[in-house]
Amino acid sequence: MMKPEYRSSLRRGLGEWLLQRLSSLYIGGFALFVGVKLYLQPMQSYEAWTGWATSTGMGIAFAIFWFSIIIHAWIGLRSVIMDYIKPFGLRFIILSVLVLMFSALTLWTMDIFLLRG
Amino acid sequence: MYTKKNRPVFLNLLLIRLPVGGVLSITHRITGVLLSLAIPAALYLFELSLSGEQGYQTVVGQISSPLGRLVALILVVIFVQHFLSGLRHLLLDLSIGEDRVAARRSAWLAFIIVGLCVLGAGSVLL
Repeated sequence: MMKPEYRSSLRRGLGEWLLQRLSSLYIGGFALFVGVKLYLQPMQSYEAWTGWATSTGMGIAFAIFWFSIIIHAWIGLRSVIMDYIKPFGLRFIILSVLVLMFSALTLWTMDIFLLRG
Repeated sequence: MYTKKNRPVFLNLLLIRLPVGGVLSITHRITGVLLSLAIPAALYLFELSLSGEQGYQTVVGQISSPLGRLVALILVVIFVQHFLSGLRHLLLDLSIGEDRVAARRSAWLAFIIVGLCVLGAGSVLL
């Protein structure tokens, strides 16, 4: 029987583990799709590019793509830092800076997709 | 008996010989960190390319310049490497290819495909 105080952190770890893998599937699949699509049908003009990338379906798909990348990179960088940087103060500072940077990235992405449509 | 405090630690990275799976695993981490560093630039180029005709032409010009092609080539190779080692980790999560021989084989395979990608991407982009 696991000690009660470990339970929530265990579940949190499992959630991140799952999120890391789900986001990887989406990023990998979407990148493959876009790569193949642009290789077979290169965009010839600005109109063609925006027409495709900002259509409702592709707009949502791109938004999920960028948010997946942000989540994936955040979980990955966080675990790398937790593995290699042991002193508490230094770890705290670096993780704090990282939180700020990823908050900014998230707001920036929301601005691109939600506010400007 | 060793206590937690005075256990011997041997972490000389130049003398430790990692198995190929270990090398692939650390490469996965390094390429992951590098790709993270590219996120702001990629997001910026994506935003700029959608901002208008002028922004789009700027991005196209940047990417097709010699430096842009080189950076694109390096990023594509790094992405492919991270993709393949990640795919291998996902398959290992599903208990596919877990035994030592298969795991070593898949690690070598990933490195070989990345090598081919370097050649392929190089011939396409440069």
